[in-house]
Amino acid sequence: MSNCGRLLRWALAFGWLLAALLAQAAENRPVQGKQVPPPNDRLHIQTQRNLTVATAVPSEEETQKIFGNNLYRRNVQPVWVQIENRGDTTLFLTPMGLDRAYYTPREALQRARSNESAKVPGADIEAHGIARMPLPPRSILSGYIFSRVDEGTKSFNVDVIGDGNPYLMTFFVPVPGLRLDHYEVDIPGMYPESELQHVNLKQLVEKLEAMPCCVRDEDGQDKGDPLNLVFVGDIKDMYYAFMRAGWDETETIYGSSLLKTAASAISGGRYRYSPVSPLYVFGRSQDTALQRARSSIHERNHLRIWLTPLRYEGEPVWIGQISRDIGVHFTWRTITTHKIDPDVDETREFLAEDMAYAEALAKIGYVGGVGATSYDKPRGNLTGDPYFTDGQRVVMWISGAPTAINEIEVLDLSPFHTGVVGD
Amino acid sequence: MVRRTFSPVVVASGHRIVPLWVLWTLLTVFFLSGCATRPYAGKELISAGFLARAQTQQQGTFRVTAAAPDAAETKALTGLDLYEQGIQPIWLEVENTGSSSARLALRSIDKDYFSPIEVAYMNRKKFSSQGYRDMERWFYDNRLQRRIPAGESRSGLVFTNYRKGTKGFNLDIFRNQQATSFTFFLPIPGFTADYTRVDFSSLYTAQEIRELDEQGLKTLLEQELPCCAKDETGQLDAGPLNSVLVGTPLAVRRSLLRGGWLETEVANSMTQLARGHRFLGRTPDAVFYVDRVDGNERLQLNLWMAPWRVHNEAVWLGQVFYRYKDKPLAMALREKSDVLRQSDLIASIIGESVSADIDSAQRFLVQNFWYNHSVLKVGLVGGVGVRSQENPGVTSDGFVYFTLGQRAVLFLSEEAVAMDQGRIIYTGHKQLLGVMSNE
Repeated sequence: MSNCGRLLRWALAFGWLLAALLAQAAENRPVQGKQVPPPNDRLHIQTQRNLTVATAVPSEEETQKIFGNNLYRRNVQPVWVQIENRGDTTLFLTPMGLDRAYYTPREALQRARSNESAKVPGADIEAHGIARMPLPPRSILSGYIFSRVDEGTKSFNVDVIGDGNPYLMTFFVPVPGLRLDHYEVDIPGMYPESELQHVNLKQLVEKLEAMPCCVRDEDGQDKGDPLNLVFVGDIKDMYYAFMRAGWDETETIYGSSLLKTAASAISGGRYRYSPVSPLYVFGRSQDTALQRARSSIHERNHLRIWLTPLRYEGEPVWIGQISRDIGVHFTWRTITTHKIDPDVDETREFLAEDMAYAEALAKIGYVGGVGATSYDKPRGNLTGDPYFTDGQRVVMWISGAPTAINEIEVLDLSPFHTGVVGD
Repeated sequence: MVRRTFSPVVVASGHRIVPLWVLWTLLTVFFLSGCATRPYAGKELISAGFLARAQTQQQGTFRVTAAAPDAAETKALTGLDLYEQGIQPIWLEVENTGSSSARLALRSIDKDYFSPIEVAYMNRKKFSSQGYRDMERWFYDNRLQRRIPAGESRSGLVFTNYRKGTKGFNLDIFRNQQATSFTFFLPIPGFTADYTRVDFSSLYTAQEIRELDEQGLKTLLEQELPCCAKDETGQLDAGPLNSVLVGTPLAVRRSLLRGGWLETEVANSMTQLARGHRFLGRTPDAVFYVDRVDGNERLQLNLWMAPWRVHNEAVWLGQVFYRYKDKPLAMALREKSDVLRQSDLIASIIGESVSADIDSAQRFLVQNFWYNHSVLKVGLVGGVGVRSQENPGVTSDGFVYFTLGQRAVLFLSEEAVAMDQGRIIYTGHKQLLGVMSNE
């Protein structure tokens, strides 16, 4: 971030805090919780309607200073949250939106206690923690929510519910450490305006079917996994959905995390951010990669997506690939690699359902472009794993507004199918 | 002499080399072939005995039949001890009698289900390469397909995570802007959930049941209902009734299922203390629990059906609190609680223990139901009474607690509820909010 941007953010943050405090003094509103923001300049603020949310994430060292204990070592990462409810109705803050396995202040305290020679006054952690849900009208609540540790960028949702129109906000708060893919890429600047293609539904199907069938290696020679999914939607809405559904961002393989993955592969432990190798479409490696860990590193789903030059009703269109790791095997190329489920359509359909249950799927349809191949005559990916498919791509329209499962529109795109299989 | 002595050595050494080499080769071949010849032979699903227990449900244009094999039946069917690996197969048949095609969502059954080929791959080492190919084919061929064309039916296996007890699961079937939700609770031989022993229809007479509206429920919860359950003697406080569920038995069961709560048997030793709790002289109709994956904390929920109805739906009184999976905290406090109330031990427990903060368990319950799409309306009412850390409550079975004294009230839906459909109905006691703002 530029200095200018940082200054602006600071000024906004300070101005908002000051305004909030002044307004509160003027109207003698109750202030609940404790005003103990972390000692850093990474305050992130969002406003929706009657609600303003400010968040910050203290680093490991800062956490040590605030709580007198290295909570990170016990997989506890405090997130500072301040919420101002300017409306006339009581709302509920639901910390589970931030981390569905968040710690109550006392669970955090017990974990702090298990640090050797920890002398934490129990009251400190409890008093700094947010331990209730109601946000009364015209009030401010602030304090820490204790989440599981995210390395690098902390991406989380803050959900406030109650008046039939929930406030759902996604925050990306950098904490030094992890290089995350979507921050490596300048998404708005990726295609100049002249290259953008604004398409209608028929054109969308045609263009998608003509896109490459598969990912490539770096040289662009060998074909790999099929590009079997398409998203239409804003990146923020997509991230909100992925986080609700329990997906984590990943690093692309750049060094230090390889060690963590190697350790994880040996022990079968669960390293949430184990990196994925780069695969190539449009001559570049994935714009972002996500994974959803299950019980161990051998069992995860991971997906990679690339921004296309297509825009549908103003929304960006993404193409991607998903696979389900079902174990580890050895290859000459990469020494070890994850064995993928050859039934890639199974994995693709799981993703569509995962988006549906995150209430993020507004519409769904199918296009061709991959080329069918049968169970008995599978094709191979770049690491020699076989796969078979019906040759379709699932197209998912992602919505920022919650969409119940009985509201999802199923589009029949077959009238527009071209029969083209991408190269 | 030299030749005679030498020759046997040569011959002998020749003999020694050859047999060793041959032996080694033979052994290698033998061991390799030991693995390499193990074939795979899954059984025909159609003849599986557990299908005799299948249950059928019909909704609209869908007819769904479901059955779950127990551990032994799974082994007989697949040749693999899948229960041991944490995998529980279920068999489903879905018939679509409608005029348009439909798709079912495997994720609605289990969000972390195993794919068929994944299950085969996990067991590959036991078989020859041909055996593995046969096994993979068997799992693939016997999978449940998602798409069901109009007028057709599909059947097959889904590989879920094993959970002890009755096999409860949902199945959602989609069409354009429509969803049909089924819930099955398939008994597994050898497990009897506590609530299946309760005859809910005969708990109260028609005269005993009071019909209430939402305001009436609030008044009753704040002014009539005692703070707490009682112990066996009916004298001592057995912990606050700090949660209230409103909904049909199916809505409650589905909500607990969506939230990952597990049922218990009456004989379950872990729930023995809870079964000493009484409401209207009755032990809990049902006890459920959910464990934290990365810790030893356990949430426990004791439920009683109350003699009240709101808009014709049953009211369930609950106690929700934290316990530990492996250490029954404060067991020693069961006796002489008045003396102990003053003690340093109590002070240290009340100051730090997870279970003493019972309101955090209540918050977990609310959010657990909310995020699993079960809540139509949610609210907080008074009625329990404040218990501070300085003057904590001590239950008859030896747990200390503090609370702001609120009851969480959750109106539950049988069908999944989107987040923007849920409403707050009771916003909490004004005085209690005052207490909170002075924290």
